[in-house]
Amino acid sequence: MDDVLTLARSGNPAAFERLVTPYLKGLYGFIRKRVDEQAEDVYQETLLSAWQALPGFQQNASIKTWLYAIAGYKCADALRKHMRQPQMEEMDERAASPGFEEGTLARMDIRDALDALGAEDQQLLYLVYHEGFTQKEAGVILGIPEGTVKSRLYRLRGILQQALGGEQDGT
Amino acid sequence: MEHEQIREHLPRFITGSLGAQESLAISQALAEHPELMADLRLALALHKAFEEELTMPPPLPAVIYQQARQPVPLLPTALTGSIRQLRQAADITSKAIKLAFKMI
Repeated sequence: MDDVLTLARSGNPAAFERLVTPYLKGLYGFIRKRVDEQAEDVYQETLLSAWQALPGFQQNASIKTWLYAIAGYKCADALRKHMRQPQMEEMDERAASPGFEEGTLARMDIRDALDALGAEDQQLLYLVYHEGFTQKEAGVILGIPEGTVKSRLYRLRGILQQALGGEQDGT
Repeated sequence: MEHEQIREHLPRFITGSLGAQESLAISQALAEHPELMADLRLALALHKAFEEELTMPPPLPAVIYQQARQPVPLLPTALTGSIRQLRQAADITSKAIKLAFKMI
């Protein structure tokens, strides 16, 4: 892998492709969680930035964490630029709807429960439960302190446990 | 290992990102504390739900291939200069030989 990294750093696009390909599907899924409509653009910008920044890549993080950190920054940047007002309204509606309240989640399945959460919460769960990042790494990627990751996960587990429990009880 | 630590490790346990020793410790903890099975079920359900919604990503940006930096030259500059000088010398020699033949 070090040889591939060296080649990619020297400007070899095929080596770059080989280096990032194992993470692309998951990376695209991560971006879609946050910026669904602009996902393709943000994905392309992420990879272009990674390609351009690769010569300066420090090996104190894995390529995967580094790629996701760039994507996390690009997502936040895209959201800032576009000030996604409709989505914010949608999230407010979700939060106000009965489905979002913990008490009623018992009647939902895990998919519905996830859909009822905000984009940031879904992204955090995705990083930890699908991509297998540690809480510290997830914090770096999302630009939030590890303590916040911990408390947010604790709260989300509580909400989702209820949903899953209801599903399994057949309610 | 405390319950909270185990909960923290469960996502990495199911994705296979933990080391052998840590995985063994989690397996033992799950066997000894059945109350943690709900957390395992949640971790598995989340992983499955996220996996199901994954789609194929678009291709890499074409500009990466267009912007490919020039390959590093195989020969260092000093050597390239020497080769140029040798070629010039060969040209001069060749011209001198041709001139010599004409004179003969």
